[in-house]
Amino acid sequence: MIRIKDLSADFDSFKLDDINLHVLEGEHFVLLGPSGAGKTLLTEIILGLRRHSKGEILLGGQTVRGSPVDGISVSYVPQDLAIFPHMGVRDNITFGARVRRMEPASMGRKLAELAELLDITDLLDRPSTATLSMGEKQRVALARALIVEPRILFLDEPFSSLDFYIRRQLIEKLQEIKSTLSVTIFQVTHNHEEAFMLGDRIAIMFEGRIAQVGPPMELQRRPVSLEVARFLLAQNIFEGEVVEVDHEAGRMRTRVDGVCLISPAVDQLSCGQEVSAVIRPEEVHIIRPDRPLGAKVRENLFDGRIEKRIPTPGGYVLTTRIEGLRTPVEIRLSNCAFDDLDLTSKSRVRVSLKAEALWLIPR
Amino acid sequence: MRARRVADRSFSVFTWGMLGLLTAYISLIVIVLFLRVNADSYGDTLLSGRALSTIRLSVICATIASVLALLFAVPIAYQLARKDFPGKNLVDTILDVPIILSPVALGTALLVVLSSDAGELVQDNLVSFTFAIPGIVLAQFSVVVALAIRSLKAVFEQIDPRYEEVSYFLGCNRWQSFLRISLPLARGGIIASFILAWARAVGEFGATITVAGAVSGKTETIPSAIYLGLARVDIQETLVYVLLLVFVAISVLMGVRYLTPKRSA
Amino acid sequence: MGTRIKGVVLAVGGLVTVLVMAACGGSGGPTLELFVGSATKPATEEVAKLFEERYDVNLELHFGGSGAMLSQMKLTGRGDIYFPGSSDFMEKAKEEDLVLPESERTVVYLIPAINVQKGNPKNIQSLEDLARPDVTLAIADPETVCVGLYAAEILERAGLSQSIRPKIATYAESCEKTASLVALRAVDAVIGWRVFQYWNPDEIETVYLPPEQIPRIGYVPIAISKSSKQPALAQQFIDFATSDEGQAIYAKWHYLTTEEEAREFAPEATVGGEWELPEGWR
Repeated sequence: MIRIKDLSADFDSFKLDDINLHVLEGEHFVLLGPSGAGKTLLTEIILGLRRHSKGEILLGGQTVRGSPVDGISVSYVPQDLAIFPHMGVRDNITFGARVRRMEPASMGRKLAELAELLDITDLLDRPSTATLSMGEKQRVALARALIVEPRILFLDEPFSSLDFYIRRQLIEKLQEIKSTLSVTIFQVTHNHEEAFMLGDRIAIMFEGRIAQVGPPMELQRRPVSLEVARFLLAQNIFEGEVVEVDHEAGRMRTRVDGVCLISPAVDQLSCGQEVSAVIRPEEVHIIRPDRPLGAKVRENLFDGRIEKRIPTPGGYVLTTRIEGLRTPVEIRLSNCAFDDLDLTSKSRVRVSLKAEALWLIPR
Repeated sequence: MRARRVADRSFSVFTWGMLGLLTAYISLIVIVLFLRVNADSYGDTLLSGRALSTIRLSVICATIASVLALLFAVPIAYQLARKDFPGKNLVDTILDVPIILSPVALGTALLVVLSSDAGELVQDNLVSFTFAIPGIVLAQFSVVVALAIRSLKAVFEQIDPRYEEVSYFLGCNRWQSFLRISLPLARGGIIASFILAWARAVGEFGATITVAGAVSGKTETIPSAIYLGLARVDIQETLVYVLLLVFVAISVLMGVRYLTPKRSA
Repeated sequence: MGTRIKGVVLAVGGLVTVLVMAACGGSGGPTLELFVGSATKPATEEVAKLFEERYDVNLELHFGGSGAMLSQMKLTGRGDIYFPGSSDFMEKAKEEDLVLPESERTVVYLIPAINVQKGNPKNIQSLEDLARPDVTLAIADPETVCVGLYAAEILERAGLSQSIRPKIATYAESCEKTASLVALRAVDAVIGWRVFQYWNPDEIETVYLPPEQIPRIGYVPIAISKSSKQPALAQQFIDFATSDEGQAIYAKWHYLTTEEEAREFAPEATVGGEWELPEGWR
C-alpha cells in the first residue's frame, strides 16, 4: 500500500536519511520514536505536503512528489487535529462527504454509524467545536477522517494529548473501528503502549533514520541495537564475550563479568565475539523456594540480594544485586507475586534470567 | 514590595496617559473645528446639490476602488503568504512600491503612462481615465491595493496551513479549500483590510487630483473639495467638508465594527 | 537601572537642545515671512536670496497656490508679505482686509497665450485650432485660478466658447498644474501664461495669440500683510523687488517688467481689473 525506497530529505534543521519502508494493505503500521526523530516530517513527505530530495514514494501505487496524490482516498488527522474552527461538529465531520458530493442519505447513515461507533452522537448538534474536550475533539477528528471511507488513514500522535484513561478508551475504540472498516493505518507516536497495543508492525525511528521494523514481539525480544533495546525499556544490558557455541544443544554461553549466561544459539555470532546481552525486566524470574523449578528457568540461576524497591501501578520494580555481575539487575513484579514471595528490600533471592529471553547484540 | 507597586502604578499611569493624550488630541481637533464653523455655513454648504454629489461620488468611488483592491489583494496575499518562490523578495518589494510613493508621485506616474501612446490607445478604446470618474477609481485603487495586500498577507500568515492540508485530503481541490476553509477563517481580517482600504480611499487626494483633476460637479471628491475650498479662500466651506469627512469616516468605521461579530478562531 | 535612566535623560536632553537650536536657527538678524503664489517661484527665490545676503535679513518663503497661501495667512494670522500669482487674489485679500491696500505694487506683467507640447506636434497655431476634434485642451479653473478666468474671458470674447467649452478635458486647480498638464502630455494644449514656456523650455512651447484676442493683461501684485510686525522691513523688500536690480532678475526669467513691454503683445488690453464669469462656466 505504501512503499518508500531510499528516501532522503534535507531541510535546514533536519535530515532524513535513507528511509526504506513497506506498509501492507490492511495493516496497522506504527512509526514509533522519541520526539524530534523526524516522524511528523516523514509523514508530511509521504503525504506529499513536503518535498523529498531523493528516493521514491508510492502511495497506493501512485508516485508522490511534493503534492498530495489524486486517485486514492487518503485521510489525514494531524497532531493538532485541525478541526475547522468556523464550523460546528456536524459540519466538521461531514465536510469531506459534502465536498465529495456524497449522497445525503448515505452520508446521514455513515454519520450515524460513526457517531455511534465513536460515541459522539450527542455532540453532533454542537454549533461550535471550541467547547469540546480533547478526547471529544479527537473522536470528532477521527469521524471526519473516516466518513470519506479512506483506503489509507494517517494518524499523527492521535492520543498524545489525552490523559491515561481517555487514551485507553480511544485505543479500544480504534481497535473496534479497525475491525469494522477495512483501512490501512499509518500511525505516528512516541508512546510505547499505543504502539504495542495497536501496531501490526512497528518501525522504530531515531534522528531521521529507521532503526528497526517488525512485529511488536520481535522488537521486544530481538532488538537489533542497544539504542532500540534501551528505547523499548529492555533495561538489563550486560557487556560480555561469547565463549562457547554449541549448535547441537542449540545453546551458547557468554561470559559477563564473573558469570556465564546461557542463551539460544544464533548463527551470526561466533566464539570470541564481543556482545551486549539484553534481557527485559519482565523476563527475570525470582524463584519460589517452596516450588520445583520449571523447565524454562533452570538455566542462568543466580543468587542475589534485593537492593531497591520502586513501586509502580500494580507492582514493583526491584533492583537486585547478583553475585558475579557488576551491573544490578532490574526485575518487574506484580503486587501479588511480591506478596506471595514474602519479599522485603534486602531479602536474599534466587533469580533466573530466562535463557529463551536473553538476546545478544554484537558490539 | 513597595518598589514593585510603585513601578506597576507608574506603568499604568504611562499607558493610560498615552491613550488619554492621543484620544484627547484627536477629539480636540474635531471639537475645535466644530466650534469654528458658523451655524449657517452648515446649511449653505451641505444642502447645496454640489455637496450631495460630492459625497455620493466620494463614497461610490471609494467603495468600487476598495472592492477592486480586495479582489486583487486576496489571492495575491494568499499566494505570498503560502508559497515560496524564486524572486519572491523582488516581487514583494515591487508590490510595496505604491505604499512608498507619495500619492502625488503615484498620480503623476499614472498620468504620464495614461498620456502615452499606449495609454491613449487604452483610453480611446476602453475607458477614459484622465480627468474622468474612472480616473478617481484608478487612482484610489492604485494607492489602496498595496495596503490591502500587506494587511491581508499578515492575515493569511496567521492561519495555520494545516486546515488547508487536511481539507485537501478530505477531497478539496485548491479552489474549494480556499473558498470553504481559507476565506471563512480569514473573514475578520478581510473585513478589517476592507475598512482600512476604504478609509484610505475616501481620504485619498494627491493621486486622485493628479489623475482625475478636481472639477466641481464632475470629479470633485470630498478631499478635493477641501483643497478647492482653501484655494478659494472659503474657510467656512473648507471646514464643513473636513468635518464631513470625519463624520463619514466615523460612521463607516463604527458601522462595520458593530456589524462584525466577534469570532473566536 | 541608574545608568539606563541617565542614558535616557542625556539622549532626551540632547534631542531637545538640537530641536531648540534648529528652531532658533539662522543668523541673529530679523525675519520676514512671505506667502508667495508659485507663479513667480524661481525668480522670486533668486531675488529673495540676494535680499537676504545684501541686508542680512532672514526670509521665510511659503510657496503654493495663491488661494491656499491666502487661506494660511488668514487662518494663522501671520505673515509679512502677500505675493500672489495674480491680481484677483490680491483683490480678495483686500476684501478680506488682510493686506494694507496702499502698499500694493505691481511686480511683473503676465500675458495669456496658448501653451503646447514642445515641438507643437498637433500644429496648433490659433485659438480656432483648439476646436479641432483631434486636439485635447484644458484650462485652469476659472472660479479659483486667475489664468483660468482669463482663459474663459478670451474664449467668450472670441465667440468660441460654444464650440470649445465642451471640449475642455479638465479644469486645473492651480497655475502650476495648468502648465504641468502640457509638460506631462496629458493634453495637447492649455490656455495659460506666456511665461509657462520658460518654466520648462524642454517640454512647453508658447503659441502667441493675436493682440485682438487678448482682452486683458494680467499682473503680479505684492503688498504688506496687515498682521506684519515689521512693515518697514517688508516695504524694504517690496522696494527691492520693484527696483532695477530686482526687476532685472525677473526679466532674466522672462517675466515682463514694464507695462510697455506687455502692451507690445496686446496694445488695447486692460491691465488687471475684473470680469464676471458667465453662468454657463460655473
